[in-house]
Amino acid sequence: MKKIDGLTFLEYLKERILLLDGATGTFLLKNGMKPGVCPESFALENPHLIIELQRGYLQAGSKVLSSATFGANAAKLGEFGLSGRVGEYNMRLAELTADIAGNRAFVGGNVGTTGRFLRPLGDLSFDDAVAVYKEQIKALEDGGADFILIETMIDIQEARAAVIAAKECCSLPVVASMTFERDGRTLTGTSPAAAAITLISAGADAVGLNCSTGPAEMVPLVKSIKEVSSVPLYVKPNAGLPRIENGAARFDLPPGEFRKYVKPLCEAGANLIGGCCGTDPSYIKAVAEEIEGLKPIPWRGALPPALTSVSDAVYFGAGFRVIGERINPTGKPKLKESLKNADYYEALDLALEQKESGAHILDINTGTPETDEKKAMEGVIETVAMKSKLPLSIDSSKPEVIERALRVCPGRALVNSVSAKSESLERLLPVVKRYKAMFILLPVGDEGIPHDSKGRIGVIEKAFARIEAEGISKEDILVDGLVMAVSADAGAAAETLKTLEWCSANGFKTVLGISNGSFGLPQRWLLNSAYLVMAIEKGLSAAIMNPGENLICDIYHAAEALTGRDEGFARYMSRFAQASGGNAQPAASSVEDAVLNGKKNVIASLVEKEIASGVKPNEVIDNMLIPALKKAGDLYEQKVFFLPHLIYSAEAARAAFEYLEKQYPASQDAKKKVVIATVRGDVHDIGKNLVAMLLRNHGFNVTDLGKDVPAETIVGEAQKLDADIIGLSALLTTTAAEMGEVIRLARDKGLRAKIMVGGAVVTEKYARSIGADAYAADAAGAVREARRLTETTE
Amino acid sequence: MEDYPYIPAVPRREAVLRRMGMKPAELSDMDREIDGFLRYAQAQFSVSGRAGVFRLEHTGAGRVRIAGEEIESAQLSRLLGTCAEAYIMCAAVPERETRLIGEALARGEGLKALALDAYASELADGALDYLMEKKNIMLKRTGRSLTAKRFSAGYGDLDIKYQKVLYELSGMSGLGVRINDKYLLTPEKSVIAIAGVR
Repeated sequence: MKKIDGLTFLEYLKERILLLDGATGTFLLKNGMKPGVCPESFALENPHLIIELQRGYLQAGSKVLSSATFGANAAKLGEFGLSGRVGEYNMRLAELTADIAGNRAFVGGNVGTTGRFLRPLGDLSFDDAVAVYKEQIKALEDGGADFILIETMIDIQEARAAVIAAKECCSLPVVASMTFERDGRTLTGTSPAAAAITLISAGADAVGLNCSTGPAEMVPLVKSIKEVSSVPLYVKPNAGLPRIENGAARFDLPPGEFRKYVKPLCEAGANLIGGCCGTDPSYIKAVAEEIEGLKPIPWRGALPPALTSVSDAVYFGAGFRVIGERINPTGKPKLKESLKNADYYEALDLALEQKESGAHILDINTGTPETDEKKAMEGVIETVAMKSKLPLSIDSSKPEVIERALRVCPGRALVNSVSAKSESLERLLPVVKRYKAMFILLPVGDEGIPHDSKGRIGVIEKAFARIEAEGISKEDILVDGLVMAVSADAGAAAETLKTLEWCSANGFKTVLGISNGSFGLPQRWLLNSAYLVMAIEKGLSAAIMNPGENLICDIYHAAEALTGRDEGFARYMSRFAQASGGNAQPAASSVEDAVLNGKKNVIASLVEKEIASGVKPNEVIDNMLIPALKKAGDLYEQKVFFLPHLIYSAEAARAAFEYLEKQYPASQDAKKKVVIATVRGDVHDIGKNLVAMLLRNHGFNVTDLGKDVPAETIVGEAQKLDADIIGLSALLTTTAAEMGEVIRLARDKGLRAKIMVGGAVVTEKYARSIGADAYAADAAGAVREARRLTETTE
Repeated sequence: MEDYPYIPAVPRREAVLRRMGMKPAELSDMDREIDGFLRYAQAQFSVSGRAGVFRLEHTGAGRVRIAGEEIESAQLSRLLGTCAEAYIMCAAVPERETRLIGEALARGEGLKALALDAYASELADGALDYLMEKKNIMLKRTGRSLTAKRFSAGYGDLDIKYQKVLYELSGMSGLGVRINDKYLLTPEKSVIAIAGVR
C-alpha cells in the first residue's frame, strides 16, 4: 500500500488536509482537443499533455493525481464506438498517472457518470450500472490507482451504484463526490446532507462535492455535509461560476481570489481540497500555500440517526416521526392483487396519500403467499422511492428480501425489523452493517417476549452488546417498545411505557406500532390516541401508524408541543394555521365581504343571517351577491384582483347561490342559458372550463359540450336548448377558423343565440371578422360580455 | 433516443403563481389554500420525457434539414446558427394525472383546477429545462453545449405543422402522446422543443 510522507491514504486524512489536483478537461480543451472528441482517446494519443499537466500539479504541491479516465466506462466510451476498450483505456491511463505520481502523490482512479440514468429516471437497471462500473474500477486498480475517485455525479442512485461496485470489486478506499447546482441540490434534487448520508451508507470512505459552482457557493454546502458526515470531506470547486461565451463555459475567478475561500472551506470541514473546471497548477499552488499549517477538522464518529430519501434526510430525535404503515397487503385485497400482477401503482397511490397526510417515512411490506416478495419489494421501491421522495422502511421477515431492498433503495433505509434472537442477529447484522442501514430492534430474545419491562431491558442490553461489537452504533437503532393488546393484559401498556422511559434515559431512539394496543376493544382511536400521548411523554421517537387518522395526528402534534419537543410550537402552528385557513376561516363581516374574500365556508350563515333580519332572498342576490361579484370584476379590471381571486370570489358566491336555491327555490329567476364548447380539432379546454365555471357561479345556466366539438353538435344543442349565448373557444390558429364555421351554421339555422368567442390566438378584430357578437379576452371578460349580451336580449 | 421515464423536475412556487396570474408576495387565506393544492399537485403529477441528438444541415436561407426532414423557419435557423446537430426533446404529464384538473373543475373547484393546471404546465416546461441541463452537463466535458434557448412549433415563424415532424422524430408516441390533424398534442400538458448542439 502506497504511503506519502509515511502515511497511507486514510491515515493521511486523519493527520493532514490532503491537497488534490485541479482540472484536466479544460486543460485538454485549451491544448488542442476539439469539441466533441473522446477525451480519453485524446489523452492516450497525447500523453505529453497529461505528463505536462500532472507534473505541474506535483510541482504545485498536489498529493493526489487523478487519472484521465472520467468517462472511460462502457456507456460513455460506447458513444464513440469504444465500449470494448474499457479495460485497456483505464489500465493505460491509470499507469500513465501512476508513473508520473511515483511516490510523491496518491493516484485517484477517476470514475464519472455513465451519462445514462437508472430506473425510474432512465432505462438502466441498478445491476447493469454496477456491472459497468466494476469493469472500469477493476482496470483502474490493475493500472495502479491508490483509491477510487467517483466524481461529478448528478444522480444519487448512479453514485450509489459506483460506490457499491467499488466496494465489491476492489480493496481500495472510495471517495464519492456529487455536483450540486446553484440551488444547493443535485440535478435530480438531492440535498448535500442526504447525499452524504446515502453515500456513506453505501460504503464511501470520503464524500463531498465538486464542479458546478465556485468556492464561495460551496461553503454553506460543505457545512451542511460536515454536520452529518462520519467520513472525511472532499471539496473541489470550479474557478468561479461558469459563464457561457460563444457556446463554451468560461471561468473567471483568478487564483488570487480563489485562494480566499480555501480557509473558509477548510474551517467548514474540508479534508481533501483542490480545484475543478477552470483551475490549473497556479490555483493548486495558491491552495497549497493557504492550507499550510491548517489542521483537518475531524468528522463525526458515526452517522446521525437519520434516514434518507432521494431528496432529503429525515432525522430521529428532531421531532416525532410518523412511519406510514399502509403499504402492506394484509387486509388489502386490491394491493395484494396489484402486487401479484407486478403493478406497483396501487402502492404508489398509498404512498402519495400517506405523504399528503403527513407521513415522514413509508413502511413497505410486500409479503403475500402468492407473490414473489423480493421482486415485488424491488418493484415498489423503484416506483415509490423517487416519486414520494420519502425514506423507506423495509418490512420483511426474509433476510434475502431485506438485503435486496437495501441494495436497490436509493437512500439510507430502515430495516423493520431485527429481533434480539441469536439467529436473527446472526443473519441480519452483517446485512445492516454492510449497507449501514438503521434498524428496528425487537426486544424478543431466544426465550420469547419478556412479559415485563425488566425482562425487555435485559434483552436490549444483551443484544446491544453484540451489536456494538459489530461496530454498529446506538444511533443506528430504534428500539421497539413492543405494544401488546391491553385487552389480553391490563398491565401491558404500563410495561411498554417503562421500557420506553428506560430507552430514552439510555440514549436509544424508540418506535411503537401503536394500534396493536387497542386490539379487540371498542373506540380504538381513543385508546390509540391516549397511548400515543403517554408514549410521547416518555420520549417516543416514532410510531408506525396510519397517517390518515387525522385525530391521532392532531393529537401527536399537540402532545409534542406540550412536551416541549416542538420548538416555538412551529410544527403545531404550521399544521393548525393551515387548518384554520381551510376549515375555520375568520368571520366575514358581510355577504359582500365573504364574496370578495372568498369565504365560501361562512357565506351561507351570513346569507341566513340577512334573511333572518328581514331581507328577502332575491334581495340578497340582487343587492348583495351580484354587486359583490361586480366589484370583484372591477377590482380585476383595475389589476387589484387576479384570476385566482376572481375564481375564489366566484366560488364563495356559488356557495351562496346553492344555499339559496336549496332553501328558497323560488328566489332565483329563470337563468340565462349558455352553450359552451371548444371547437372541432382543438383539445385545449382549461380556459373554456374556467369560463363555464365562472358563468355558472355568476348565475348562468351553462351547458358545457366539452372539447373537439363539431359545429353541427354545437348549433344543434343550442337550438334544442334555445340558448341565449353560444360560447366558443380555440387555442390555435389552425382551429380558430372552425369558430367561423359554427357562426355561419348558427346564422343559417336562424338561431337567436348571441355568439361569444375567445382563446389564446383570438383577437377582437378576428372575432369581428367572423361575425361574432362578442369577444372575451379572458374568463372575467367572458362574464362581463355574457351579462352585456343577455341584458340586450331582455 | 434517451428515455426518461420519470423526470424529477419540481416547479418553483413563484413560477406557478405567476402562471396563475398572481403576485406571489401577498399572503392570504387563498395563498394558503393554493399552497395546499400545490402540495397535492406535487404528490400527484409526474412527467416523463424523451430526447435525442439528430444530424442537422443548413440547406439555405431560413431553412434547415433535421434527420432528412426539411424545416422552413428563419428564427429556428438563426437559433441553430452553425450547429451541426440538433437536440430534440419532448416531455408529457400523463393523461391519468392531468385528468385531475378536469375532475376538480367538474366539482366546481376552480381555484384548485387553475393551480393544478399551472403546476402541470410548469412541470412540463421544467422537464425540458431539466433535459437541457442534463445534456449540458454531459456535453461539457467534450467542450460542447446546447444553445441557451429552445424553440417549439407554433412559436414565431416555425409553423405549427412542424409539430408533426418533431413529434415523429422524438418518438413522442412512446410517451403515450397523440397528435391530431390540427397538430395538437394530447394529453394537453405535452411539449416538444428543439435546441442546437454547439
